[in-house]
Amino acid sequence: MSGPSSSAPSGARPKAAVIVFPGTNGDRDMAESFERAGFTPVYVDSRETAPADCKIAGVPGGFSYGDYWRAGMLARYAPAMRALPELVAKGGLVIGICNGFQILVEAGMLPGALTYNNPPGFKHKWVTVEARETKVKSPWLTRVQRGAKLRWPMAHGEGNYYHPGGWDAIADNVPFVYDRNMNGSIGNTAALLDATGRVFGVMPHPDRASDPHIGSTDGSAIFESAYDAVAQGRV
Amino acid sequence: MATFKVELIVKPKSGVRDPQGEAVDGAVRGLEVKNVKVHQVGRFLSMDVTATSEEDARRAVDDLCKRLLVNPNLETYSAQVTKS
Repeated sequence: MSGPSSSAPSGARPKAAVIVFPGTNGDRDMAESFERAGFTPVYVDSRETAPADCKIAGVPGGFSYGDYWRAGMLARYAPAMRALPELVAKGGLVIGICNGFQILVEAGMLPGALTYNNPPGFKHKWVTVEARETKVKSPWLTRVQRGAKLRWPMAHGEGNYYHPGGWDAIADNVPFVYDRNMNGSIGNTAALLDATGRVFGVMPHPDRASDPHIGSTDGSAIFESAYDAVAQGRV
Repeated sequence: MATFKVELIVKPKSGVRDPQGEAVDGAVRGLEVKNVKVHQVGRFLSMDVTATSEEDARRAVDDLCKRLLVNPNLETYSAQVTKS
């Protein structure tokens, strides 16, 4: 994997919003991943909305609102979240990692549901995900080779992806699967795209695999792909 | 207008696996309790609803469940509505 595209003018790094809820704990991992890819990360309090010049927004991992009642349920109504559908409608990109994925699902920006791991329990370990071909070409994935096996850490208790239509209902939009059953997800689903490819939810953490000092840079391609999309004017 | 006390129970839909229920049942087994079988783990919410009638209160609860409190992919609910 190479570094950020050289086509961006120096000193004019694009901004990437990182939304912070009470209970978020993955905001810095996400911000540093955006920064390493060439963005200027901007922390956005969930009670506010992202600056108008942010074309990229990330919903980080953690335990927003303590996961009360149902993971992601309370966060979906925050002003920062309510603004995201409009960002996507204007061509912007949204990523949700771990609890962020749960929040995007709760907000209806991605289909289905994420529920308690099966077998039960909070699971945290390095996992291997395999990249799949998807029907829609996502700006989040242009640097990811189909069939690539990537090492990312997972850390969740409610990552069991469920869709009432089963695997067939989502197969075209699943860009990553675990190499084995990790949490009961249908088809070992580890990530999901919306119909536009602009909304990307992922349960394991590419943001915790973007720094050589912590064991893997296999997650960098996600953030660098988004950077390319902005730098090349595709967002 | 009257006040109605509502007790809402949200639980896993039949056919959807319930790892929480299975985990709690496993813990019961771990205590060597042999005459108890845990079926499901759900959530309970107690609230007051101001409405013109019990039907009106029930409608308000149904609406809230649909919009916020119940994930229809995974869960079902029942509500006990009583006039305070």
